Amino acid sequence: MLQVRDDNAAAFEELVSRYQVRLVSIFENMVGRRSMAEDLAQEVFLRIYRARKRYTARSRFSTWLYRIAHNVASNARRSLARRKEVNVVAASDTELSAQPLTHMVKEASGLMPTRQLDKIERAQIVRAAMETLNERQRMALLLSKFEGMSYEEIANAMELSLSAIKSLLSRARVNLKDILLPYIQDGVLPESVGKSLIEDSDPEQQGEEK
Amino acid sequence: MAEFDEHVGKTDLPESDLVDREGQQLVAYLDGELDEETNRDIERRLSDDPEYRLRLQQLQHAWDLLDELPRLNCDEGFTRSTVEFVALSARQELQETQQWSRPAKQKTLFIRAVITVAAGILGLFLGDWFFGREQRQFLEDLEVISEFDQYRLTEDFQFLQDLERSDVFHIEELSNDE
Repeated sequence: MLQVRDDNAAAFEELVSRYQVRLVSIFENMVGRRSMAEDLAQEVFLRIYRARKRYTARSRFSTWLYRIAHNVASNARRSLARRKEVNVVAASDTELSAQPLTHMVKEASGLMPTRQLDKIERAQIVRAAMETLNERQRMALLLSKFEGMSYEEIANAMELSLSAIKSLLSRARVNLKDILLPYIQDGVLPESVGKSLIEDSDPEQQGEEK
Repeated sequence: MAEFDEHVGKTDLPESDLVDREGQQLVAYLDGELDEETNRDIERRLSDDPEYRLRLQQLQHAWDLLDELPRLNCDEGFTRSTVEFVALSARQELQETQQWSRPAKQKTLFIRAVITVAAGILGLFLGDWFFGREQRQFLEDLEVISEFDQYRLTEDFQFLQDLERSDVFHIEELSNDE
């Protein structure tokens, strides 16, 4: 990043290459659409480029990067909420949102045989469970899980206190556990949940405007 | 309803939400964020309390399920398009800045020119006033200086003034006709 600050174009390209997958993954888990996730990731890199002259090596680059990513994600979710897109759950920042998955899914139009969960369905269920979390809980969870950031680093990135991050993460994980518990214990996908999740599995369908 | 100010970490949890403190501690334990003494206390309780142990296992299991989320891949094409996007945006912003700054620069130059000219004129007047003091004094004293040789012949100016007032050296003024 210090080389990018000194206008080294090759260094900027290396930076993009190194962090793009992680950023796009986080954004896709935040907004639910791959195309939008890529746009948001590009927006983050643009902001990094604009602010490159102000960068100092006082803290880790990843902390600074994810602070920008958090702001971009917040703006995107506010924008999505304003457009009243479907399948985007904008939970209150101060409420616990631990509704069972069956309350989150559209009603199935037909019958499906009960069958064991497979990998695709597990991914869909986990994603649906993630969508029950509010934006900050989700971001804190993703940074902890996939970026391996400490509580202090997450607090710096999200510009919250350490105690707030502890609370966010604990509530996120407890909520996740409570929602996934039936499927953890039984390992079986109920019919109504199965069909609805398969219908919602097309990423281009998620979040489409009415 | 329990309220929790996440910005300052203050909490006002009712009795029914005390279980959240337990969950918070278990999560922090799993994340390795607790000190040694607290870790020992938790491990002691884990060995004695099956329900507490079960809760920890369920939290860990839900955490592990996050690995089911698909991991994306981005190819070189995305890197290239990102770099191009940033370069294009930066160029556009630079052009907009230059367009905005051209009239502003002209205005600045004009103001500087006016200030310079005004400073020059003021300098002329001040310089003339300051450095011309001696010359002006000289001009005022010129009448005396021109008659200085005659003034040296007398020691009594009062006598000269009385002599001038008297009519001893009356000189008739000739008319223009004469």
